[in-house]
Amino acid sequence: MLNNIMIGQYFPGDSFLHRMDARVKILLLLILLMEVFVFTSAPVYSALIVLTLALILFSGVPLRMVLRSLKPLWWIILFTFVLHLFSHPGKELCRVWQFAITQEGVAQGTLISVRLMLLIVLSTLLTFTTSPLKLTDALESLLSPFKKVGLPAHELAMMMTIALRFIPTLISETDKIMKAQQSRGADFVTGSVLSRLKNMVPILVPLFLSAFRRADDLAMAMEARCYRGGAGRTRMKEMKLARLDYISLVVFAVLSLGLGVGFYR
Amino acid sequence: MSFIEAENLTHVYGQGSEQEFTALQGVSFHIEAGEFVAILGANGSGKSTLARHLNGLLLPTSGVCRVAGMDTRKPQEVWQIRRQVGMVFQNPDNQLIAGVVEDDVAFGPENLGMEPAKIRAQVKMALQAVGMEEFRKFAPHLLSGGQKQRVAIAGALAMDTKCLILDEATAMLDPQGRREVMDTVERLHQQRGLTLLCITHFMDEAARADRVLVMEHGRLVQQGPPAEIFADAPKLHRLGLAVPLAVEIAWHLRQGGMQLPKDILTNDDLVAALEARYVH
Repeated sequence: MLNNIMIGQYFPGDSFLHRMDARVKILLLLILLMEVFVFTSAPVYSALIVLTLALILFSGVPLRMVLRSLKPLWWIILFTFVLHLFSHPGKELCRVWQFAITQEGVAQGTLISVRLMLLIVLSTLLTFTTSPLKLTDALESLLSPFKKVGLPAHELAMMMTIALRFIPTLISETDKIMKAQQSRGADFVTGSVLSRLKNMVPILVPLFLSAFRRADDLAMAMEARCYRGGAGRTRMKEMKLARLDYISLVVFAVLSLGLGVGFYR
Repeated sequence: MSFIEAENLTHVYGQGSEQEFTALQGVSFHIEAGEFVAILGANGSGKSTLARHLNGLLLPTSGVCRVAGMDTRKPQEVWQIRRQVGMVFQNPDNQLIAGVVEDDVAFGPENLGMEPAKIRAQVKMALQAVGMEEFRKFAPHLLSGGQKQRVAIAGALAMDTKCLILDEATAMLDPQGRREVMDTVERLHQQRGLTLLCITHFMDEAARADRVLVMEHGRLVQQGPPAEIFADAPKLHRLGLAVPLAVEIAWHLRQGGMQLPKDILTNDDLVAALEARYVH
């Protein structure tokens, strides 16, 4: 069971979204999210919804999987919607006790809920179509201009790489420790929440201890392999923009222009 | 000039503190380029501390360690030294850095600032040399212990290392993985003239070396060809070390008055010697 742990939610595939340069994807996503915030009219939002659905379709990621990413935020979306229903003065539709549901409230509530859903779905689409490793490399590359103002871009990326590398190792170690403790009578399943939490201590202590030992070993191994920070370091995988990336940029620019015109007209 | 020259190496951990501990005391030896040397010693005899001096991970409290004529104490030379002296550590899980095999092998060359095309060529060469090229896209946690150690060896080879130090690199492996790793490094030693330094508990690994150094309490107490070292089985026992089974049996047979040659190291040697004497 521990052999096929998936880190993040990368959905392997070969769509154009998968093949695009991760840096371009991140940039386009950021701009698209801004557009979702700025262009708040019904026609533009309909266009954005169509665009999002089209992207999901092209990505080859099952729609169900994408929608599942909304699940943890379902309550927040619902709460926002209900709040907006009652909080806008205007043409009254019906009354609940002394609060009025207005037409403007319904419109605003729908808009905000759709906005939230678009934000989440578009962001998850990025993590669905980009492997964590590529994402890390892209972040390092995008953040590197900020090195001048003291942002440790390389160190952050290295930390993420190492974290990704060690998550499966630490999970299997947790499993081993749990089994060892269970074989000596530890109980992780029954009892109140508090007592179950207490029972986790004998797992966490050895886990942390070994994590520190691993960190120590790893630092030694990295030094032995001439690691001395990001300065003077090259990368095996060059990130180069291909034709697909340029086409995507142009198509995206045209689309954005269309949305902008549609909104301000 | 020898490839590695250690002169009067002394290392004291936590100098000046209450837990001051002398791990190495006046150790001197030379290792020639292309040699295969095993370092034996009980736990806490200073083997690992010694190994870490040879690529500048630890610096001598006193004494000198030179690699290819470069002093490990000079900060500007230490990177050149680490490039030439690769190290494989005990725990296969704690020395791979990247989440994909080929990225991990590329880690060293990337640190050296090689050109991307050159790095790709080095990674390919290194993975071929250890027979792991079909696993280049694998995540390390999906590999066996022996395979992980071979990737670690490839990581050193990709930096064009001249010498490989195995710091008990087979201690956590199963017999199959141990054989994989030892066969790989011996092949590299024979084909490429890679200098091998093998720190080990396993006597059969030491028996394959050209020369054996024996450590006790931070001192180098004996060195010589394996046959010579293993000839004195009782002494090794006193040092807390076992000798290979074949050597042990041969020693007892000799004690019982049987005439056997001195260079019996492996089971095959013993069988051959007994056959030569009693069958023919």
